[in-house]
Amino acid sequence: MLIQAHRATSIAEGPTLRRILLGITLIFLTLFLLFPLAAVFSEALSQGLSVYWQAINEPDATSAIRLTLLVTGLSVSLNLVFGLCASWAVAKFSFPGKSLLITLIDLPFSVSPVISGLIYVLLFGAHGLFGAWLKANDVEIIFAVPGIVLATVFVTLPFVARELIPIMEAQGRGDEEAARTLGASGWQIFFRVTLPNVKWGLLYGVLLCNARAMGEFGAVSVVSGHIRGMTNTMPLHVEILYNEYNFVAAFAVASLLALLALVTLALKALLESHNTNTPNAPRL
Amino acid sequence: MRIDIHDVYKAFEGGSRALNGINMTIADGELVALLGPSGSGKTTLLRAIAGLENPDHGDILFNGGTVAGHDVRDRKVGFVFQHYALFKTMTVRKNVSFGLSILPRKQRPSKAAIIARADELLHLVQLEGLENRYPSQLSGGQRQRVALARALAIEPSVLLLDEPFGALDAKVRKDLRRWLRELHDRTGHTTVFVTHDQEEALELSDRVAVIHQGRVEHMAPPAELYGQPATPFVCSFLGASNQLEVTVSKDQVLHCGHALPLPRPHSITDGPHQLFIRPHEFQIRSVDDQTPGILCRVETVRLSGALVRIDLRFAACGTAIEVEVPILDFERHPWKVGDAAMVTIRNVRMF
Ligand SMILES: Nc1ncnc2c1ncn2[C@@H]1O[C@H](COP(=O)(O)OP(=O)(O)OP(=O)(O)O)[C@@H](O)[C@H]1O
Ligand SMILES: [Mg+2]
Repeated sequence: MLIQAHRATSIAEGPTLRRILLGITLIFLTLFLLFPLAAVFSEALSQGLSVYWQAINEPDATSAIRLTLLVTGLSVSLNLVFGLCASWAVAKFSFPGKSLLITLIDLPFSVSPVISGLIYVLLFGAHGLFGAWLKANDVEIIFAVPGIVLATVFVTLPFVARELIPIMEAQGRGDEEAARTLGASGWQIFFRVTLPNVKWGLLYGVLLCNARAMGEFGAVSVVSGHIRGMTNTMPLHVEILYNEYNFVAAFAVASLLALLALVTLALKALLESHNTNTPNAPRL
Repeated sequence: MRIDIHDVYKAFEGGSRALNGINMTIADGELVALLGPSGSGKTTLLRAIAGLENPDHGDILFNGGTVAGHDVRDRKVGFVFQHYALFKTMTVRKNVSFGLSILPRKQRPSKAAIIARADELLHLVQLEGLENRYPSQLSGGQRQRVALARALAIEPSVLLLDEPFGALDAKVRKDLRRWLRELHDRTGHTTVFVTHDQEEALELSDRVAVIHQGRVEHMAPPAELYGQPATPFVCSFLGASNQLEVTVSKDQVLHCGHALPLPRPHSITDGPHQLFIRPHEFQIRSVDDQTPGILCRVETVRLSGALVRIDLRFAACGTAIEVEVPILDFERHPWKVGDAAMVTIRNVRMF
């Protein structure tokens, strides 16, 4: 209370400073965020709705949309499982190498996405470590959907786990132990106690993971091979169209991605307001 | 249910020895308090009984049969955690019915029966009307009772409570304490509770186990524990005591070279010993009295409710003691700072 009151007065004391700071912030936001966003939509719609509709209804575009949804669905589900397991293990058990595991989970954040893609090419590509074996057994990973999923999973690996670990750690083992004394089995504890306790954090992590999975460019670009109608995701498709000077179509597909980003943002805001409004929900 | 604990040891990673050879027997239907200073191993012992902690050595028996290797789920122990550990995403009613709702389908009562049972328990803990609240919307005392109702729902044969009244204010504590005793008498569970409040332990329980450094120092009914403590630790831990270094030789008890007005106890060997005297076990008289005693000088006089606390100092060697006098005696003889007084000793414990 005291600190807040103090802050309020000190800000009120410098109205000029406040105006300058606010002005700078707004200029930056407009220049770097609102303008480009508006440009995407205006360019996409510059030749009317029907052209826009055609651009996103064209077979290569719909294929890219479908692939993006598939890859996102798969990688978000995989990361959901991984994130739950990893955060559960880290937060509720002690084992040797625990801090190493936490560091490893963060690795994809610090590695350039291009390198993340290259790792898989080196492993599964035609001249890669397992390349010969995969070819002999007729398994396609690189320049095919599995490779894209792998690269996306790698890049988005930290989102769910990172979100859950601090929440689970803060909650400790008390609730689980209480459930055990009441006779609950491991699964019952997980589904009835642990999961409900972290559900808002989990949703938040999934949302972030989802946004990143849809938009991932670098890693996917390396492993995809850019085969139109086959291994092109939406971001890759946008690039191809753009390089072909097909601006309207490029921006039309881009506008879909932007729209998805806006929806994610809105959901995130909704989640956050839910969290601050309910006293019993864990804080994100 | 009768609980036997045989020679239980437990050390944690990092070398801290929490339990150091615990032995005790808790009779069926008994209400036992585990009392001890912070870090003495009370919580660890309670958790070992519940199965939340595995002893490194030793055995725990329920009704004569070992429970080593029995999972927590199978022990049917009601556990009330220090901070309640209520499920915060569930309503009060859901919390209380949790234990029944997770039973295998064959043993599980119908939905209506579960709700009825939960409401019955909430009535027992006097929380009717709060069924649909969430734990965050309850006071500390109410949460405590929800935790208790939840533990009772599985009809445990043993009820274990870790500092059940720790986080509550004095008034609520007193009420809940009496209420827990009544509940215990009515249901007949074997109940073990942890406390570091000695008044609570002495007032509430059939027997108190004083735990110190992972060992049972003394386990006895409250009156015996207070009157004839087994060890110096128990004596100084329970209630206020004046502690004097004495030497026993021949038929005398000497304190810094002066004989105290005490008969020499028979069971004690010659040599240095520790003498514990409770503040009310001194008698303080005027110097004109002809009874032999220790000549003292009054240092401070403090009124505290129905008692007067008087600090005195031995005239001969300067040892300070604290004496309690009932207010009626004090009114008959109002001691003032600087008065000379003759102190006699009614009762002592010597180790
Ligand atoms: N999980 C743990 N890991 C390591 N050491 C522990 C653990 N739990 C307890 N200890 C140690 O074991 C000893 C006994 O702890 P315990 O919690 O049983 O004490 P307590 O008597 O309940 O104390 P308090 O009155 O403060 O609750 C302490 O020294 C404590 O530091
Ligand atoms: Mg404790």
